[in-house]
Amino acid sequence: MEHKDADAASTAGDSCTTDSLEERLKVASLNAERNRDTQFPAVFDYVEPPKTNAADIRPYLKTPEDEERALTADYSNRPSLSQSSSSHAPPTSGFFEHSPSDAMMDRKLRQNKPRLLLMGQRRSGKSSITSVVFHKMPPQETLFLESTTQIQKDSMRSFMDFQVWDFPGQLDYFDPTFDTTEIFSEIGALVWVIDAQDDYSDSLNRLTTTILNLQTTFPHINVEVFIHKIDSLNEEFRSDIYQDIVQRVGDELSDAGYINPNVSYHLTSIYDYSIFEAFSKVIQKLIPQLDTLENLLNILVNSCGMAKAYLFDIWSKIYVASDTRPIDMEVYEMCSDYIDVIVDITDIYGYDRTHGKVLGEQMQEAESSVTIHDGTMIYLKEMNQYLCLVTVIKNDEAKDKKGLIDYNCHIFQDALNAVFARAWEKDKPSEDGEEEEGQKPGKTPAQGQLEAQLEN
Amino acid sequence: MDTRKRKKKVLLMGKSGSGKSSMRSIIFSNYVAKDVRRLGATIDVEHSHAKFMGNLTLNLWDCGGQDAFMDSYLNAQRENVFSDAQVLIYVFDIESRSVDQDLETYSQVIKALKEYSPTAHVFCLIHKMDLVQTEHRERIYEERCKLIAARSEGLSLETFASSIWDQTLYKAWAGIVHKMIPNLVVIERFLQAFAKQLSAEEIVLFERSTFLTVTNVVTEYGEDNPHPDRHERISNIFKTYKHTVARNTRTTAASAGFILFKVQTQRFNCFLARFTDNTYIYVVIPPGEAAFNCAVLNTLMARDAFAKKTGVEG
Repeated sequence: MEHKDADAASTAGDSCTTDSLEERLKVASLNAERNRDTQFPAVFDYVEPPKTNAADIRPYLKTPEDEERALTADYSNRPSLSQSSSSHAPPTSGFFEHSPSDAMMDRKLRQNKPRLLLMGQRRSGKSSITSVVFHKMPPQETLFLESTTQIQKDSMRSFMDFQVWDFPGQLDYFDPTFDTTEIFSEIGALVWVIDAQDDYSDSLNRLTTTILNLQTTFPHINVEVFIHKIDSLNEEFRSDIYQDIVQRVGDELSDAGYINPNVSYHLTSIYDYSIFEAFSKVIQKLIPQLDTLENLLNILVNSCGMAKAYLFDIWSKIYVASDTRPIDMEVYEMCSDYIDVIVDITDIYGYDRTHGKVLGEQMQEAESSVTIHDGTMIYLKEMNQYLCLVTVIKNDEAKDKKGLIDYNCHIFQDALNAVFARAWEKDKPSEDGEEEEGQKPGKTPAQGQLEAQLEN
Repeated sequence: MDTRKRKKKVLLMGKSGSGKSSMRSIIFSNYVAKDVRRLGATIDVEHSHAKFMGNLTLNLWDCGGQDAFMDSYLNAQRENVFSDAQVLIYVFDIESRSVDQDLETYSQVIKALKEYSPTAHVFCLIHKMDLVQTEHRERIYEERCKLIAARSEGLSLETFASSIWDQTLYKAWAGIVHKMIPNLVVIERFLQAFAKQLSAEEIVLFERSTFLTVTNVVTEYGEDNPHPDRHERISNIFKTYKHTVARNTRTTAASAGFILFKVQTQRFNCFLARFTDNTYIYVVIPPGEAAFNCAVLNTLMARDAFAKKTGVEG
């Protein structure tokens, strides 16, 4: 029994061994594999890096709302800042110094405020234009502007005050309930904005209706058509659109019997300087002394060997006048950006000194010049609180005679102030019934002086 | 001095996407901030050179930050990358979601650096600070600095908060450059004496192509300036205008430059002129026409004296 058991055990053992030969091989191979795994676990394992007590900054990151708030805060502050700095007290920067005659000229000019009306279809870019030109908003941020629901009034305070009215596109201002006389009575120019990237038939229809409506009551209004958003169109397409619009508006108007309309066209985009250029043109038409200014600038440019001269409004960077040579966009850009440089630098260093150290005499007005790598010189001189003269000098001989240029610019400044002062004096005789002529004799002595310079 | 020694090896490292190449392009390659969107990922190491003050040349190693590259710097290329480095600039992305992992990589880099160049300076830039709300910036920055300092193994360390969208980037890099100029003390002593001679409020030296502040001296007249960040702002102003000039004269931003820039106002006068081949000098002096013109002439004449006194040629 025991034996049997033993036998059984042995057979069992035998069978076990016979089994196990295969089985053991399997087990062994399994084991080997498992061993291999257990020996090198580190290769495949992710080791948690040691924990630090770094605080999660996510709750403190800016949200889109924050950005928006910062934006609105920024831009709602800006215009008021500019108003306070240019309207009443002398600006803090110290760049601009008042003289009593400035203040007087100011007050007089302030009395008539030409009005610029911005109109056009909704989403054609009217508010973007005002934000960029008058509020210094970076163009790429105008994407986030809300659509305008009521008339937005901005004023540009400079040597002359302008009001800029931004109309909502959906408004019908010839509705009988609207007081058209009130809106259009003081108007200086009507700026009609057309989105060149969109179908503009509707806009053209409304434009011609508006022009025809206005023509009966206010025939002297300048109509300026801004063919806007041209930045993404190529050169050829631009001129096609320009031709098309000019043609269609002209046809419509002449069909209605309105020949020689007072309409001009500009190609504009907020992404480059064309919008400033166009606004400059619009505003120049509203300046009664423009011819005189251009004449003066021509004389200055010729006598000083300058390549180009601009009279800029410092704050808005719109140019009030330039000499009559063809405008070079490149030069314009350098001049207009140069104003930024000077304004920024004076902002940093124009603080009130406690030491009051002065090393000698110096003229009142700010003056600056830069010579760039190719030898071109850009010369800037402050004319009065609002205006500065920016010129480009390429003539080598002229650059050496800086004293003479300084002197000439000074004469120009006197002439400029005389021109505007005449505008102020002109008011008085007109009250007495006399008119117009006051301006002309005023400019001749100044011009005479300049011409004398030319001969020297 | 042999030329090899003058070249300073600068390692620029940090996690992928933290903004290393962006800031390098803005500072050294005349990019403007919005252009950096065009940049792709850096593959392995990109080398570039920047010359300062004639005898200081930076040999910049912009090390791509993807994990695979990082791994190879720390293992296969360890000696090649970390030996002979004078400066390590390590960029932290404040917005990063894995701070612990970042710090761990940083400490590995520091270990490698300590092994091969134990005398190197370490500058940590906590970057993209513009993404943090203004009121929390300082506190978060302080916290991060502490964490970084704890992992820096006793190497000399300086930290800066930076963003490509404002002047903090210039501040950080100007600080870095300032640290590396060899004969800074001599230069500063010279400028100090010169400022006194001109009765200037302030004199600043800018590097020509990058417009980074090399050094500056302020006299008693200029002490009360309320703008501590003015040098960075000036760098920014000039650099922006340089771009305008380049665009409109059909040259590259690298070759555009100013010969002489002058501003005269009621409260102050200042000018910027070429000084040595690689620097601009910027002088602010109190008003006074005659004194100002003299100062301009004197500065142009001081070039030679400067080169002789400080041994900075070019």
